[in-house]
Amino acid sequence: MNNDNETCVTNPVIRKGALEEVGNIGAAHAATSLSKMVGEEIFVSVTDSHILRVEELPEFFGKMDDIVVAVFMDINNTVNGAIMLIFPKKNAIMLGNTVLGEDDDQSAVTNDTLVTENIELAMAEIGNIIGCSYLNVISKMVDTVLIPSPPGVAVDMLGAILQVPASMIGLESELATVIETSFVRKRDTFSGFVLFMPDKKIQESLIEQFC
Amino acid sequence: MEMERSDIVGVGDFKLAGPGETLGCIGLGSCIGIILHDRFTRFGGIAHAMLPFYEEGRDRSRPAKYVDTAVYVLIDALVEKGVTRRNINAKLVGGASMFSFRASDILDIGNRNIRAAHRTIEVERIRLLSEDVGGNHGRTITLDMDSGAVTIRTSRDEHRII
Repeated sequence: MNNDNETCVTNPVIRKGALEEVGNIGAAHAATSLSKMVGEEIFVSVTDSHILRVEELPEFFGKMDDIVVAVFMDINNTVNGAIMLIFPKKNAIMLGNTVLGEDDDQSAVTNDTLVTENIELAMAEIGNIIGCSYLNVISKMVDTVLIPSPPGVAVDMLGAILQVPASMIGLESELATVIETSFVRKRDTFSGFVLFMPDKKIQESLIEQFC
Repeated sequence: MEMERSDIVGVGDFKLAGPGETLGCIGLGSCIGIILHDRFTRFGGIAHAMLPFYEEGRDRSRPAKYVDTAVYVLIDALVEKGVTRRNINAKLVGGASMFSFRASDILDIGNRNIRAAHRTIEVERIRLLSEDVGGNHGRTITLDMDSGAVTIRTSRDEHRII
């Protein structure tokens, strides 16, 4: 019994399945909350998921010096891990504009467009909503209260931003899970990543739910 | 200026180079780039360290992941190349606090990395020539072996040479 459980918890197919299930439920909750906030329908869907080693994290997403917008929240004061959203700069501005109701001319947005303070605030709020949606789902599954910190926003090089969660996980040499998420409103699609980094205990009890 | 892939030092790694060559790190955030160089032989190296102390993970396969062991292996590798120990000079770049909204201990990893680097370099009696550390922005660096100059480009699109 114990042995079966071991194989199940470490089985990569089951891990990926568990992750995607969490991602899908979290995405559904996030879509509801976001739609309420914006006042029109926004769809959130999970397009792929990955489990990566700490060292692979910074180089996984694309070019290390691409400028991205990231929202970071730790869980229970870092005791139980962290959750982070990463958007390519252009997608973040367009998603921020949508939430702010300033989306008349999105075609003018390029990677050189400045990320204003209002966009940063909008992204913090979006991060908060999505982070809480995922954590609510996971809290129920693992029967542990998971409280996120207030969101922090950074606009910087991808490599530089990813070093923060990588060094946090590095402290306990754990794996990171990445859920690729896309947001759809009318004809616009904004893709981003949700990086979920639970501590070992949460990670294992989460996967046990699927064994 | 595009760097060759082989010239880039990835997270937790270190590399050496010699006369006429360059080395670099892309997107140093809370990580710290430890740059050791000898202007006489024009040999040098960069370590891209992620955590302050070896004690915090003890990943034996990647000593350059930790600031303290990164300094040791860089010195030893340079000495093995024939560099005289007392000619080695150090420069430090990185150790930013990317999300400056909180001062919790773990998120202060950038500052902890800087302190660890200062301490280890002092104990090892290596001269610290210059540094560009802290702040809340990412940095990309290139080390020119002939001059020992480190060119820094920040995410705010600033350039400087130390």
